[in-house]
Amino acid sequence: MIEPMDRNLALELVRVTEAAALAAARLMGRRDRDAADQAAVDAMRYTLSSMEIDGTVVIGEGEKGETPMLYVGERVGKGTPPAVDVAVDPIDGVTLLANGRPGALSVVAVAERHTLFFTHLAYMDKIAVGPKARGAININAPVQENLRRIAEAEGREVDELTVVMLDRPRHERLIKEVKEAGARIKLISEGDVAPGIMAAMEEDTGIDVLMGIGGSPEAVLIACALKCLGGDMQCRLWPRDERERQLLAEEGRDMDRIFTVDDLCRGDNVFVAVTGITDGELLRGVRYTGGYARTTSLMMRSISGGVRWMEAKHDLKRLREIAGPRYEGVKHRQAHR
Amino acid sequence: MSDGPGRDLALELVRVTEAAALAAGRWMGRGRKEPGDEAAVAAMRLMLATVEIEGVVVIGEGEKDEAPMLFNGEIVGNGMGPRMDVAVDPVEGTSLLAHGRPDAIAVIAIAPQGTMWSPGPAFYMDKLVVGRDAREAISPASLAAPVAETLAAIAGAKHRPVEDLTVFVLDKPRHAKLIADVRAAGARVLLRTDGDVAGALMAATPGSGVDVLIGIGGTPEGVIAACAVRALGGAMLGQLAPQKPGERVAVIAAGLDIDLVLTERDLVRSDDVFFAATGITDGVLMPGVRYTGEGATTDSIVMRGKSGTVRTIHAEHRLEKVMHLSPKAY
Repeated sequence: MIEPMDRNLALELVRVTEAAALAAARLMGRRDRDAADQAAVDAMRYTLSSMEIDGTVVIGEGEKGETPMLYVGERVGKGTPPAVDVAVDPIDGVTLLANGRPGALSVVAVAERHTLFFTHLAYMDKIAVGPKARGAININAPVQENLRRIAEAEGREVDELTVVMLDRPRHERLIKEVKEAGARIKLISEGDVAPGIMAAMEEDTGIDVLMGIGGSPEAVLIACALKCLGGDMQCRLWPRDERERQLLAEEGRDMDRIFTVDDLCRGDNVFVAVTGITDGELLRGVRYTGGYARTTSLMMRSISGGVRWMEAKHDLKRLREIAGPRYEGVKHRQAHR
Repeated sequence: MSDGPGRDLALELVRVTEAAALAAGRWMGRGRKEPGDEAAVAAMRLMLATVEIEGVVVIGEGEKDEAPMLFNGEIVGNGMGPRMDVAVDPVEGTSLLAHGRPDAIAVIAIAPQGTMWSPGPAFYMDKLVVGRDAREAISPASLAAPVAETLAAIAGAKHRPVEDLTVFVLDKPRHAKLIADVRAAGARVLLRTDGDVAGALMAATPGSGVDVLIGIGGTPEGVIAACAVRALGGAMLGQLAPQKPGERVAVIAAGLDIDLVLTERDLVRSDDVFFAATGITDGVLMPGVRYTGEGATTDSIVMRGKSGTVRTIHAEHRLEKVMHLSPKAY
């Protein structure tokens, strides 16, 4: 006897990331990060409001009082079951978008309530890989050893691996070590959610490993995606200064603690949706074709392990009739002239 | 506007057609129509139970006494959402599937309760379908007009010569004259043994390579096609065309008007329609189910009439799920 399968929230979540992408894409290259962010947040919150979930934002735009919408602790959705944690990044790579550079995208993850990790610390040191290299990584081991073990697990040579990391002065030493190990390096200016997802889809994307220090909220979003894709990750909290070292102590944590995918995302029923805003390696950006906008998205779910790629053609006139001008970016453009 | 954009049920429906396609896909080219259809019906019904609607099947697998599942009148969905009419064809083109021919698809359409036209005893319908860019080129008179005239008007609306049009026609003996007329008019012809829902979908989808569907096909299929045509902004005409012995008498006895030309707006009287289709065998619009050893992939099209959003979805399903839907195929 075959059992029915329950609701796949990833399919509904894609409308949330699509909405944020449609709204933000209007502001591409206008060098106005705030306007783009506000447009995305507004559209995202609008679509989230119609979802049949009892959601609590755990990764959001900031803490309560810092931001009016999508703050940590905000309740979203219609309030009907299931009770879920919601992690949002309306624009991953807002500077990329503001400068019209590739790789900006919108991402949302949902998991059972109280299962997503939260810290006040801004940064984490990360190493993330795809399903084939699961179990091969150890964040405490030297870079060279990690790369050797990843290559071995994937049946390849170290010089065939591509390691992606943020282009930051703090990574000088990491870059040197990867170079010495012989792997290829891809430096990105911003936004490590996409590379984290890409590392788990190595055959489709050509990226094998994400390494280095990036945002903590992004680490949680990557963990949600890795849970769906079967990838692996280890992270450590990375305090920037004395104040954050104090925060670390207040949270009762230390720098030696290793956080795995299951620590960052403890849920078993996890959903992720991602939509491209500017053209990128993972997803195409929003394109306008006279009355229509096209978006490309990726949806995943942990239980079935299924991945769906979606291309949507949105009728802008009919969208306006339903949602008003929120996808047209006009209001935000004028507000920030 | 404060209550948000409303639910896009099409996104839930895609799981329904994907399930049907995954269940039926194993039966490609095995020469028998029934097992693939039965597998698709069971899988579709299983997944339909999770969709948040209070649905009634109005176009299904047949009358209650002749179909064990998804029969006309069956209540489907989880009973919690809006009241909807449901039209299904778990395998559109069962013989296409049985012979491994292209464009067998799994389809479903839903619309608010009471808005789908009821075919009653009518089996056959004469149809004409075009896309958004040729909407203005056809009118109810087009069905009776000479084909050459209709094709000229469509070509004119599309700013190209008739020779650049492709017309989908079912390859049936009843269409011998129609096919000859289309050829004489100069258009290209795409002939298929079965599956005019797929044909209507092609004709209504911009850029599919098919511009027009003409000819007599199933009436229930006409209602399903109308849902897609409405969502895509295309145009459709339909007129009952009894072919089976006794059909004409039964249709008239049921009070149906065989002289009336229906449009897509008569066949489904709401723009709040949702439609989903998944490829079973490879086709013009989308690839069929592919097996990879680690699972299977499907390709689908879903749409929502109200917003006009059209989505194509490529899904990678893990083996576990594929086995769940078709535990032992044959």
